[in-house]
Amino acid sequence: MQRWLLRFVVLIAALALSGCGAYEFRGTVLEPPNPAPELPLNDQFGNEFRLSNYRGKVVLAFFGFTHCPDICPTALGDLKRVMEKLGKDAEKVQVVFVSVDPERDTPDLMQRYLAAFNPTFLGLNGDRAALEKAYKDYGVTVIRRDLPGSGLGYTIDHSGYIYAIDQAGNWRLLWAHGTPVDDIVSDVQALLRNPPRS
Amino acid sequence: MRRLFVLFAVAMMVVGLAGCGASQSGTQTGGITVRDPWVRAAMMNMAGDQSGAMGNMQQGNMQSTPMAGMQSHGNMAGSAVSAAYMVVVNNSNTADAIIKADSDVAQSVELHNVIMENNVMQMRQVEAIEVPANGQVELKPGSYHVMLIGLNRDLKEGEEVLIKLTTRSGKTIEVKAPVRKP
Repeated sequence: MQRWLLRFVVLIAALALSGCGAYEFRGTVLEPPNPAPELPLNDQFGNEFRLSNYRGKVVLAFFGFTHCPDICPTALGDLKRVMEKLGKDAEKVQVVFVSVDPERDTPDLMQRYLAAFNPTFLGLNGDRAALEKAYKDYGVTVIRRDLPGSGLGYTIDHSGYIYAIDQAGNWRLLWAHGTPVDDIVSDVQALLRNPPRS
Repeated sequence: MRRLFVLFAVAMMVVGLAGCGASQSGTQTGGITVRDPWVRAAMMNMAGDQSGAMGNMQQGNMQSTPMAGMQSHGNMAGSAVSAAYMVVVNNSNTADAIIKADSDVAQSVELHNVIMENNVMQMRQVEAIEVPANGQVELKPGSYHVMLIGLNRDLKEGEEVLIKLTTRSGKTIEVKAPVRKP
């Protein structure tokens, strides 16, 4: 009888704790959260993109390129599944794919590449200076490597993090490549549950 | 005579086993077998229309650049890519390797590897993918893959792509890889 009581108390305590917002993020938390640097770029449909237009939404950003047949589709496939698992909450999330290969990531190619995952994903490209600044601001490594003898001509070594920007435009989290989809979903749900006050 | 019979029996078993994976179209040649092949679905650009892709990308003066000119630079700008994955098994006592891959779905088919260092992804072309004796190598996302560069057609889920692998030992393996969602 006593054991049952103990179990009951532990259960209530656990529920209370989880209710207190004591959620522990699975991704790397950026403390304190700073305003996410603007991404003054254009999307694959030729529309101007500004992060500041996405206040009220959680923005998930990944830096990659369309001639990346392996890692980038894996990350985008994960993000696709994140959106599916979020269900209705996916409306409050915007995924952006920032080009690290502006020369080859033509709007046409970006459209086709991203449509294969989720038609709402935006592929961002822009002038060299704006992109270079974005890489620097977000700490993204982008190194062009020539591949002599390859039909590709060159490839781009690049960081594989996914970044989360909250509803107030603060850069809150990053996930390393290969983070389980469920962990990302759980973190995004936590951001949506507790919108920042601003 | 008896050895021949054993060899025959083993060969039949291998064929039988390979047949189990028939839906995956695994194929075997000599000591090397391939199982669970698949290709990532992908869309090519503007039906291979160079001016279409280039037109979006560059100013008008680039539109007149002939495709031949692009190829001479070894750079198929604006072309779509995909990758094929599979498990290559070596059933023999001799190490072997995949040294070449061909397919008619792409203008260029290459062997590539991805190395991850400090969460920075680096893709590199490799000359060969080694398959240890009595071992296997897995071609999978984030690792070795057969890279399809300059797709000649869209790769849609449910279709099959024929890929020919050449081993260092001089064998050719035909793999029918189903197309899966990215």
